[in-house]
Amino acid sequence: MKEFTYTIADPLGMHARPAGLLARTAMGWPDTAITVEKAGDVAKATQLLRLMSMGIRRGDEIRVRAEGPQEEAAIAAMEAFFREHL
Amino acid sequence: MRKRNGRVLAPMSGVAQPLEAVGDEVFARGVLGAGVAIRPSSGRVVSPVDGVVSSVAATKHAYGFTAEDGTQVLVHIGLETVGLDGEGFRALVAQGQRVKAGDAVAEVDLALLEARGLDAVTPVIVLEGAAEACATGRVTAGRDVLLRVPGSAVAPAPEQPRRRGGFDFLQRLGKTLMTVIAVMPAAGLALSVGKLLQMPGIALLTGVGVMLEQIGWAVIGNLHLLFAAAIGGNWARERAGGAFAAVVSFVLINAITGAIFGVSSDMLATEGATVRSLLGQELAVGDYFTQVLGRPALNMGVFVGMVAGFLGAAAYNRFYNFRRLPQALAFFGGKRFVPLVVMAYSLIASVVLAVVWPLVQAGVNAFGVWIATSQEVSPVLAPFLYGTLERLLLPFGLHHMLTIPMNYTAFGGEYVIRTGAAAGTVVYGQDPLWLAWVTDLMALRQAGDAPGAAQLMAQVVPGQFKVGQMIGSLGLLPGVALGMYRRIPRERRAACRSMFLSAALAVLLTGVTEPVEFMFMFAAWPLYIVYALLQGCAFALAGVVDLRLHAFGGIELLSRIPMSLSAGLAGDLINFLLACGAFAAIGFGVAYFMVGRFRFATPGQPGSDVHSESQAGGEAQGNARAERIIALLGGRENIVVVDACMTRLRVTVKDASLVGDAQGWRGVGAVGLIVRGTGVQAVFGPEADGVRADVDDALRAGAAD
Repeated sequence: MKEFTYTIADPLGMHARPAGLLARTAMGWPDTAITVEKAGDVAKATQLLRLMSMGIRRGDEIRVRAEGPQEEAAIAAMEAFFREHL
Repeated sequence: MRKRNGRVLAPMSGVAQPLEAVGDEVFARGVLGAGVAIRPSSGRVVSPVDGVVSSVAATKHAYGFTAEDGTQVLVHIGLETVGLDGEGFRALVAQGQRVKAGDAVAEVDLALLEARGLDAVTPVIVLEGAAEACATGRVTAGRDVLLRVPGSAVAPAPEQPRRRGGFDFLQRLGKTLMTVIAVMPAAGLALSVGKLLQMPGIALLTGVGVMLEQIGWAVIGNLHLLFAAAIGGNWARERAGGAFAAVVSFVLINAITGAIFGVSSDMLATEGATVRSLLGQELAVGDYFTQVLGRPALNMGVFVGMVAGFLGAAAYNRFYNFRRLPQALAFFGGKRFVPLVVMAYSLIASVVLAVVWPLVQAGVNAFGVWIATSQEVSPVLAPFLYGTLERLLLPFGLHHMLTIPMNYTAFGGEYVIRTGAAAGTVVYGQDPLWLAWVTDLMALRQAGDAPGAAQLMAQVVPGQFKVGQMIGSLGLLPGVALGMYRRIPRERRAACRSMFLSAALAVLLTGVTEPVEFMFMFAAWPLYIVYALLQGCAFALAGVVDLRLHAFGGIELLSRIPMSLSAGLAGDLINFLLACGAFAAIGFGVAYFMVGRFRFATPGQPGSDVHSESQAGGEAQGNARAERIIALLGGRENIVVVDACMTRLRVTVKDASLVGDAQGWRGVGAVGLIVRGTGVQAVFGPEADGVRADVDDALRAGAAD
């Protein structure tokens, strides 16, 4: 299992557009379970509506985990995604 | 509410336009999913589907819905509106709230958006799936269909409304028994053709006919064993293992019940042999026991097959992965442990049955005797009770306790032969009585003794407990079969025609009712109850009008027509044909109405597994749902063990955080979700075990790929 923590920098937080892009990105690794956790609330990164309902805002610290055969590549892509969009 | 499945209504009133025209790349390129955008003319937002509000953005500008069929819909009000941080928006629902399509969910101040220079165009997106836009131009919130989701209309199985517990069980049993029922019409046909071939009396034809007839009887006479294998196989988590366990159980229960009473094959062959039951009661061997697989056994008809089937399946499901044996006995672990359990289960079941069954049999038998002796007093009620009970007891194999005394013993009537060489001989039971009576009538009439014949006809009323069954097999049951058949959707009828035709022919020609009866006995048990009552009415009719005939099936009836006519029973014959016609019409009407009204899963109907196409459809349906359930469980890799109890799917997972939320589970038919540690329980109701089987199959199929 691979993971990293990230503090949201985007002033708008995890709204529909980044959440949708994140879900789309996460779907690129169908065998790998990617989750996003905020203060104990865990969602699969592919579940757009769950991501949106977590209310992730600027300054929130989130933890992203990947587990599966391609967890290395997946976690790297996730990290890049968060730095670019959030 | 099911009618809205697969349809997404417009959440706002305004003008619908293609998603590609939206000025936001993420939406326009369909990154989130397919959809349509609405340029709203009013700020009222309603739910586009029946389901649950699965997400309300903290900034109240975007709403996610999970429809009952699992479809997820996102309504994003305006572009870049997240920046308003809730200003101008009022949410009328909370996350997790159930809504109906058209229920108000939010209000937006369109004027404020305009003042801030924000685009109010509202993308409506179906997430993770295909959707077909079906509206352009003006749409009204909550009224016009905006999107259609292909596939989802079939996914929730609208043709199979959920039913109450007992009904579910019996329907599933009915479906399970389809394996056996499908072979019965063929057996019935072999029987009919075999009998017909024997009629001309040509040696070669007779030989072939006897063989064909035996093929038929071999199936119909061994229904109990076939039931055991079918139920065991279909109810267990693995077919071959369950069927094997059930057959083991069947062999054992029969052997043990015979052994408990010390019945030998010789005693079965000896008239008047008796044994004592465990409670000291005296049992006539011939009435209470029968030969099963070469050994004497308690006569439980098809019931013993059902008991063995469930026992085998239960033993298999419980112990197929049993690994707690000491090392020295490890060989008997897992699936090999099942037969050992079956032995223990069968022994217990046999002892219980050995105590209980003779009591039940004796009770039914006593009732049969009471009915037989009260036929003088109540010529209508007694045959009615007899006819109805006989059919209702059939699934339990108890009907023979009623029919044996009636057909072959003094309870069915005594008759002293009056004419010919055998004059003075006493015959017992309905069939011998009728034949002797008709022979006497013929002799008296030939001798010109018309008053004597008339007197005899007035004195003796035979066939009261038989003719109802003949009306059943020549009228009522063919009518019921036709009613079920006419309810099959036209395009599927051709595939079912041969099955219905051969089953109907069997009952018409030979009087063997099982092929038709088992088609609806469990799958449509209320119809079976009505049928039993009607059958009782047919019996009662013999007490009202003259129906003094006796035959088993149409062929025998035809062969007995000449002697019936010369005995002066032409009137009875006409009455009989009229009665058959009337009951055929009633049977047709009742079956046609009930199958249509209550959507019973009789053969050929959606939900019955008898037809290959519908079977494939059913499996695909099960698969699609199983895949969704696997996804909700966090994928194949996350699943450790899948199990089920009466109402719950119980799964052990590696990581409970990957398990979908209760809303997602509702989409696949679960009514509740309990997650404790790595244990996940989804409450499905009585279908839990079926769901478990589907998921197991899907997991195995996935592993095989």
